[in-house]
Amino acid sequence: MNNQLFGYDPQDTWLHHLGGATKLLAFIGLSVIAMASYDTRFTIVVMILTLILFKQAKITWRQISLVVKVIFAFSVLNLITVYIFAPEYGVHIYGTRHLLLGNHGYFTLTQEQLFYEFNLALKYIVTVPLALIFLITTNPSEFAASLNRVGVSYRISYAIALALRYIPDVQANYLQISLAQQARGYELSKKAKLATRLKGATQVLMPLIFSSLERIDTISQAMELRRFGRNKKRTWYMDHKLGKADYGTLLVVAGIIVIGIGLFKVNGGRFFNPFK
Amino acid sequence: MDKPTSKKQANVRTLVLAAEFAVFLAIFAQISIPFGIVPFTGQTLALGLFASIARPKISLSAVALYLIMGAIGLPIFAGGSAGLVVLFGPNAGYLFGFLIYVALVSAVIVKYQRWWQIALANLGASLLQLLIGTIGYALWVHVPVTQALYAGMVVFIPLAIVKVVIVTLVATKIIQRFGVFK
Repeated sequence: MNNQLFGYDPQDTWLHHLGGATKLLAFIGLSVIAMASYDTRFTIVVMILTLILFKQAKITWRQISLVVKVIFAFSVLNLITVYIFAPEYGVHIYGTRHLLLGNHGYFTLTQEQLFYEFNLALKYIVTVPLALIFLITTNPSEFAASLNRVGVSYRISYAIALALRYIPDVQANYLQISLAQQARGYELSKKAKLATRLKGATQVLMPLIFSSLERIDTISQAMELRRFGRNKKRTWYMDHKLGKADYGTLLVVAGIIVIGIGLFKVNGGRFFNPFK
Repeated sequence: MDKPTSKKQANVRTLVLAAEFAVFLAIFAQISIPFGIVPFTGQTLALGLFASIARPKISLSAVALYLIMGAIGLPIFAGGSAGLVVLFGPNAGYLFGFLIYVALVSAVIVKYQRWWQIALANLGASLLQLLIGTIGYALWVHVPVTQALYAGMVVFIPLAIVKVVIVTLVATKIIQRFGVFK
């Protein structure tokens, strides 16, 4: 289905062959260090690395266009909100003030604020491809097994895997119901009036929720019949033993994290300050 | 809808319902209409809806699962954001406020299921969640609480009322058909 929120896409790349636990740990590790560090040089290097990985994962624009558009819109909104609430936050962080626009009043634009917001934007460019690589190259069942392997309860792991499997189902369901209701004459296009569109949306929403709720018994009974939750531990069909590529990847990621932490010491904190 | 016959079966059903509700939360979170500096997201719509049709254990499990999924990096929070940074960032109050929202609404719904009771429970919980979120935001960004209350709560109130109306209409139909999920 086009324009899914996200979903696993089986391909033959080295990223697809990596273990779920490896990808999960690498993804969390890189995301955390990229979000924690405000060293622009470091973030740019990590960004280039993630974009190379993104290319190697053979992810197409069609697969990610919807989620990227949504994230882009919110990122821009977030950057604007940061400026509206704290237009002098950059000045507060970097300790200098290079004015670009407006010399008095609440809204002033400084180089420091722009630099701070540029760093925030970089973080989105780093973490979004990482998340998409992880989601598109990892089978939900293997993801559940990997979560369990890193210490998450298997019930929670299974619930997450179940949720990941549901997302494409709900979206496919939505598309079917939406087309059926449009064929019956309900207007959902952007050309229609808001009231008409809301009425049409309700005609899609109700059957969508009902159909989803109706399958709950089927799924829970199937799980119950397979004695789900009877034992404290379980085995996984999709479990993946760690190989050389996994250890190599974890070593590289650990190296990047160590460099990131090392830069905290070099910069005397999380922020790289080009203004001093 | 069949009632679970054993504690084990009830636990499995809770897990399946939690997964289903968490998915709807994730999908609805991506529906947004810009509204000034505050986006109108479908997240709280889904939140109110599922809190209004299930007992507290189910709705709390769903929100907890949603927060866990977001925390480990799945881009399911509003605007496709994710990670511990979001969970412990300026919007943390709004996200953790979800737990209070569903706990309050579900606790009421178990006993009272008339349309006006559903509406009142959702309105009260919605305002409380907004208040918690706004105070959290103000403390994080070091903005005066009064200023934050306007930008993060007052602006939201008309939208909250619209959401409560939609939630009440849909929830009453679901309860008529399935009953409250136990």
